[in-house]
Amino acid sequence: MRETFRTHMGWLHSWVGFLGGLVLTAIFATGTLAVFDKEITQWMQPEVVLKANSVTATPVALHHAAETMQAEQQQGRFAFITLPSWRDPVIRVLHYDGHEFIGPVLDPIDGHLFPARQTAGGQFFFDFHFALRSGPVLGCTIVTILGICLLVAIGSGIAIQIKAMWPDLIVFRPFGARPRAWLDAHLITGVLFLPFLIMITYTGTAIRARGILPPHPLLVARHSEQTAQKADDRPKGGRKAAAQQTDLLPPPLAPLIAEAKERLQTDKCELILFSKTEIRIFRSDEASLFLSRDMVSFSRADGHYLGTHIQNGAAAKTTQLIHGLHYARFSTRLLLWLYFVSGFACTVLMASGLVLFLIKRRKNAGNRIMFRLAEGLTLATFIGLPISIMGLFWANRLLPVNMPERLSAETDVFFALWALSCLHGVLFSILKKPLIGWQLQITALAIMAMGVPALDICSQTHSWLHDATRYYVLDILVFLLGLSALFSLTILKRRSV
Amino acid sequence: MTAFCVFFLWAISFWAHESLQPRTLKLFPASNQKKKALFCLRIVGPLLGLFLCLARDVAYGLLYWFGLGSMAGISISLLMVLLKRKRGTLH
Repeated sequence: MRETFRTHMGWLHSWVGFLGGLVLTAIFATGTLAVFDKEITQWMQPEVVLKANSVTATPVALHHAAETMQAEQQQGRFAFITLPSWRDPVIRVLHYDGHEFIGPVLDPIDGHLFPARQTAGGQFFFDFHFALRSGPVLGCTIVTILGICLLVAIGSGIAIQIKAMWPDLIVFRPFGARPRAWLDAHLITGVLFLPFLIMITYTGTAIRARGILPPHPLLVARHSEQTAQKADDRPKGGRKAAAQQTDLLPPPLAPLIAEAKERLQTDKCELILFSKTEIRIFRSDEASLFLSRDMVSFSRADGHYLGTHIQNGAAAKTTQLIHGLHYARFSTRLLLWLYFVSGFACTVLMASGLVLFLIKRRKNAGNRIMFRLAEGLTLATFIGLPISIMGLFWANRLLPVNMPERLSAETDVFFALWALSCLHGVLFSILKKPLIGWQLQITALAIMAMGVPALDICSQTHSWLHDATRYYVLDILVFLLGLSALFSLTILKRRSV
Repeated sequence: MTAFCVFFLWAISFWAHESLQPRTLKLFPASNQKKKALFCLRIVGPLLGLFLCLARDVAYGLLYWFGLGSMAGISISLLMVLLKRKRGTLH
């Protein structure tokens, strides 16, 4: 009876894990990078000079930010301001372009505009992680359904492994036979990072669960009410009307921020939204584990206080905790690094699962076309994705700074490389030369990853003496990825002899 | 400093856990007294770590505890690979 149950669970784990895992690996990899989205954006905008001590914007800088925001709104964009924080000590005037939040960057001291290159930055990974770059409806729905698949795969995985989980808690035999080493890698990451995996999958799925659940009548009524209110807030009559309504410069922001901090009883505010009639100042996400949207509203015309919105109910707090745990906008570097390493381990877990699926079926189904296709897709996920991420970094440094449509060009490079890797993988797999395909792509990854630091040095886009930690860290990590690819290549070549 | 202590406590717990497994006892035999000490370490380490984490920060404590535990597990696992390879018993 127990064995039958385990067999069924094994089947479920294999198929749900493999079919979902092809995309989930990419979702986890990009989510892991999105932990440091701000730092990646800073690496990709070397023109922006960061001053670590300037986490408070001066009134002059805020005035310039308000002017920039107004100019953006007059162009019909729903622009808002993010204040300097310890992770991103600059002022940003952002708007949503359908995929990322992008916009001008200002110095928090004197408010001058940095001539920053147009780039998706770390936001690219964030967008891919939560919507697969397919928009908030289709993309989010796919990701949420895959999240449920992952929960099923985790549950069935626990059922298979429950007996050996305790004694084999930290067993790893990398020099063992091939399936053994991959299985150990899969199990050790799965077991040791199980709390993180369950937490991040559950919170990620719960955040967007409403998108796949049938709508409750009460929610529908509330949503239409909110939509009507939003429509009322937004400028009517297109760009011309918007320009007229945002002609007036908002009142000085510094006193409003000070008042908002006092009313919210916090020492950090990060976000300022501007509607037709109101200015809304939000508590910083870094302030607590609970990611709240507590805010203070002021009149846009003269800056007088309108109200405070603080959610304290049990349901609201639960939602805030779920958001806070998943979005990881913490104010401690150690916790961010723990998230990063855990995310990386979960990516390894899924990628090793894909390889195991193929190893187990190669003997019986190795000649089938579907197996060949699966092998090519696995190669594209496992190696092709890192190659295309490296391609994004290369494009960021190589494309001309003032190139029109630069942002799309960068992301086009990413997707072109990924498509190329996929084609290459499938082709070599169909030609029954998968090992050569793996070797070629790993070589390409090693070259591209180890080339990023060299390219960063050669491009001379920034100083290496001041404000260079962001460059050192990313360059070193990418170089290590290249080295590990080189090491894997050596092992692969040794085994193929 | 707290993070380092918690990591260390987790690490010795994982070490004790692996040392108590029959496959490891074959390679590194232990006396009954040592086995008892390892058994105690295996239980006390994570509990003490949890206490330290929660005492430092109630809200973030559990996240630190789980995160550092996973890191310590991976580290000890890799260390065991090296030690066992040195003994020439790992395939």
